[in-house]
Amino acid sequence: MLRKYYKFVTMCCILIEEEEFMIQIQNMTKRFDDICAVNNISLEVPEGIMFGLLGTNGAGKTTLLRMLAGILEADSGGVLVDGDPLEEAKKKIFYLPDDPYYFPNASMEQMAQFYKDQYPDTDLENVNYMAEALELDVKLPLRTFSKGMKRQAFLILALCAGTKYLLCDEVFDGLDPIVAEVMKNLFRQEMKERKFTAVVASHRLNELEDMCGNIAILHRGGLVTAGDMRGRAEHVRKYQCVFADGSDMDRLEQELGKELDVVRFHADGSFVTLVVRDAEGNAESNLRARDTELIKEAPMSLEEIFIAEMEGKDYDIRKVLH
Amino acid sequence: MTSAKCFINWIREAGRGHLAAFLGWGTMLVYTVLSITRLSFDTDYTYFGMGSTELAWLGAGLGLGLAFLEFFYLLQQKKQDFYYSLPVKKSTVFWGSYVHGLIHSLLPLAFAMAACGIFQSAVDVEFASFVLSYTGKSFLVTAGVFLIFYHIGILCITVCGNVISSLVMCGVFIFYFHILVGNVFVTFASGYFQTYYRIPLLEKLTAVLSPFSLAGALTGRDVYEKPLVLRFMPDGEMIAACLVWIVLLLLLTAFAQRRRKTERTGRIFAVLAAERIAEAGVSFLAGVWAAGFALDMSGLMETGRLTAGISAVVVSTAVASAVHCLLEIVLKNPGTGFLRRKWQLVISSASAVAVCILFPAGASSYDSYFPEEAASVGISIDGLGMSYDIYLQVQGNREDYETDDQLVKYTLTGEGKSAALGWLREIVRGQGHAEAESDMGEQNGIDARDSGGSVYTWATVCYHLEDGSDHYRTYPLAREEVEAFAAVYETAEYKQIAYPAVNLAEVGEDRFTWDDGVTGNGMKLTAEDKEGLVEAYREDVAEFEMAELTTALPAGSVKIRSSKSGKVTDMVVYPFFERTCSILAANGVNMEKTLKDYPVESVEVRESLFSAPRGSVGGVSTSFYEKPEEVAEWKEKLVPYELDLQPLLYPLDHSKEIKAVIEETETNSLIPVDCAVMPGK
Repeated sequence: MLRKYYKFVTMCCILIEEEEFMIQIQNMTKRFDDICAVNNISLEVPEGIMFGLLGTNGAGKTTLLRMLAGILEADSGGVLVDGDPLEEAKKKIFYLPDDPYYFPNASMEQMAQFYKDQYPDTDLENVNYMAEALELDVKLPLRTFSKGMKRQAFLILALCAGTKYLLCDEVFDGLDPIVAEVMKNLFRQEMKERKFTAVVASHRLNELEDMCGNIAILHRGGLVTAGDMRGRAEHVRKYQCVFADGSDMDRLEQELGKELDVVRFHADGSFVTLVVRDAEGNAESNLRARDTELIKEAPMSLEEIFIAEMEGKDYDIRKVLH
Repeated sequence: MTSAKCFINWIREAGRGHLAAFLGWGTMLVYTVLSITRLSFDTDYTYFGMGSTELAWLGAGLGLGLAFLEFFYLLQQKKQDFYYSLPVKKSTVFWGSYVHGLIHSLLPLAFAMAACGIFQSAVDVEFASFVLSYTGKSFLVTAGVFLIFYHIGILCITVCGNVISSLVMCGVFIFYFHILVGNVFVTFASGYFQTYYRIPLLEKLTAVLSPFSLAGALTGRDVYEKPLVLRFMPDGEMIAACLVWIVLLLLLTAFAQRRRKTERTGRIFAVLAAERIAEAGVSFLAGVWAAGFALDMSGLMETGRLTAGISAVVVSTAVASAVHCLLEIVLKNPGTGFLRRKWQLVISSASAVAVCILFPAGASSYDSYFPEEAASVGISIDGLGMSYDIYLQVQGNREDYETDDQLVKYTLTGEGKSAALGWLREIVRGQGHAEAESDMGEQNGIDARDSGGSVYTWATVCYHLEDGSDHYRTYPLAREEVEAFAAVYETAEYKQIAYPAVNLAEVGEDRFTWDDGVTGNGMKLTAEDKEGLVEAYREDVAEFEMAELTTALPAGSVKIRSSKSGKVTDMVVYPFFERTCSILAANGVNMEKTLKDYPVESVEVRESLFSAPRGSVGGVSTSFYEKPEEVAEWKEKLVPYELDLQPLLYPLDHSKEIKAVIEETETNSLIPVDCAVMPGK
């Protein structure tokens, strides 16, 4: 009886601990001679979500991913995966670079078999199923595939490897919108079926905005901000208003600026789009007190959230917007 | 299923490209087919294992080739990222490739050796008894050569970041010590040391430190005769050197593999320590090499050590610094200062300077070296006991095989050694005086060549010491010093070597032929006569003095062919060998007969002309003398080449190439005889 109780407590502890496990980057620094590619970054990637790494070229995204994949060794700091050092947890991580390597003349089927040898949980049947769904011939040499087909093939291989963590570097870059959408659907579908964590690096926000809630922005090796942007933007609201008197919009902007914490003010005749920080929740009543014919709260795009979030930080968000 | 952690399966994965396997097995298959084909035609001079130059090259080439194929992923960032992102240790990938390379080289090598060994034993009876030892030794030495070059290749790829730098590094590794020791040090030694002939330590260092030389020594590249090749066993020191190379390189490789920075793939060096070592090493070598080259070309080392030393220091410092700066430009990272690693520059330049100073500084003690005690002394004097043609070659330092042969042949251990050491002591003492005068002359601005006496010839000596070491020296000799050599020459030990016929015994069954330099005639002697002739010769040789050799040429020689071994021993007979001459005369040999007593039909004289006159072609003038009076005049002054055995003591005139055509009446044929001219005629 006592043994059963002890077993139960141990299992509970394990479950509680598993809930806490994730990728923990601790003060990671990597220098390439005189260039500091990653500068003392500390970051936690929560479990079971798609985490975006956003930054311009040279921001340190690829270096960070290569360190997380165990390719590069950090000069200082380290990374814990589910509480274990990286060396012991590499079997949980699959790294998908922007230009993946494949053996000369190898077909998708052969590469899947190779990955099966390295990652025993690789689902070969699923590889065939997904390849068939995307009309990819698993028996053809990968060298005969187009760039988009190769990307799709390797994304299938990565998703079917059965690892807990998937690191993707610029996987949607340079793809036409249809292929990019197909790949994103693959991601979403697989994430629904299997709870895994994906870290996706990109230099364009629009590649991440419809997939990632949590995003970290890197700039010149440093971390600008990180976290659940939509959660953080709960107090930021976007209103679309029509004012009865639309003759002097400059005066209106000045008045609203004094009364509210305005992030963005855009007027088109008497139609005004307004983004405000509204922690106290009195923005709407403030607007209604004015001579407004229409007030409507509109959903915020990730881009607008970022603009709101980046305001005051020395980072030009427009670099990653388009 | 392949487990990610299973090392042996990573060996299999390393072979995915199949190129390494193709190279290893393919090369050995081709080699086996070619060797068997050659063996089916000839088994006397065809060696599939040791003694085969091709196999040594093959081992070296295969080592480098497989190293590059197996470890090329280290130079490809994409492939390297792919491997390193997988759940496997970097070291597992590395050593998996290493073992894969070994399997696909040593296995086919073993099969190739076995196949060739079995084939040769089937077609060659003489080889059958050596099949196991020869085949086994061949496999082991070739594997050793392969491992040396395989490890060199792997180390170079591991420490370098791209293909070109890896290849250059391989070249530097392979040729570095050969250039430093075999070229630079030898140049300095031969230039600064007036008594330099050879330094066994430098030769051994070159053989041991140069991978190609070591490969040659291990595989018996310089052994040609079949019985020697089949019994050939590499020198113990060479085997030890091979093992040290293999183990040391393996340890360095293991160290470099752990220190290698993945992110430096594509750069010149991937290991910073290797960059520093290579930079310093190359700067140093460039400095000393340039100094050696400059001194050798300018001839400064022969004129004076002080001037040469200062010049060498200047050149080596300048070149070492220049190369260091050049490498810094190539290697340095953007933004770093031009003169970083200043101490490294100082160390490499200072080392080059130290080497340039070391040789002139040690020259006096080298030249004045003389061991009071020696186990034996090997001695060779240019022009003594050698034909004119060989003397000509030895004199110009064009060939040293005869000198080397004589140093072995004339190894004195008894009374000859004592006499030789006494004679050499005086030579070395005289050498010391000449050197002091030379130094004084240099300080006073007089050319060192003018301050010494005239050199009559050169003596080369090898002191074999009790501790097993050998010290070679060569001394310039004045005429008086050559005459003083009589003290050595006239010892029984020396004469026994110089006149080997005195050692003959039981010659009753041997064949005796008299050769006067023109024709040879068989001698009909009884066994007692033969024994008597040898005994008389023994007494004559024991009694004659070296000075007598300056008075007469040999009258001819008795060639004694052994009935047991077939070996021919020359019994050179001089006119002052009275007992020998009288026995020969008593047995029908005309001791007075010379070239002039033969019916000479014509004389052909070829003369090299520096200023070619009109009508002559190629600067050579040929004259034919056929008139009786002209022939008679030439006959009086010609001596057959074969009698010119002491070109130093009894020099003949060789300024013209003369051929006397003699009519042989008995056979009705013409005999061309090469001749020299008697001096003063």
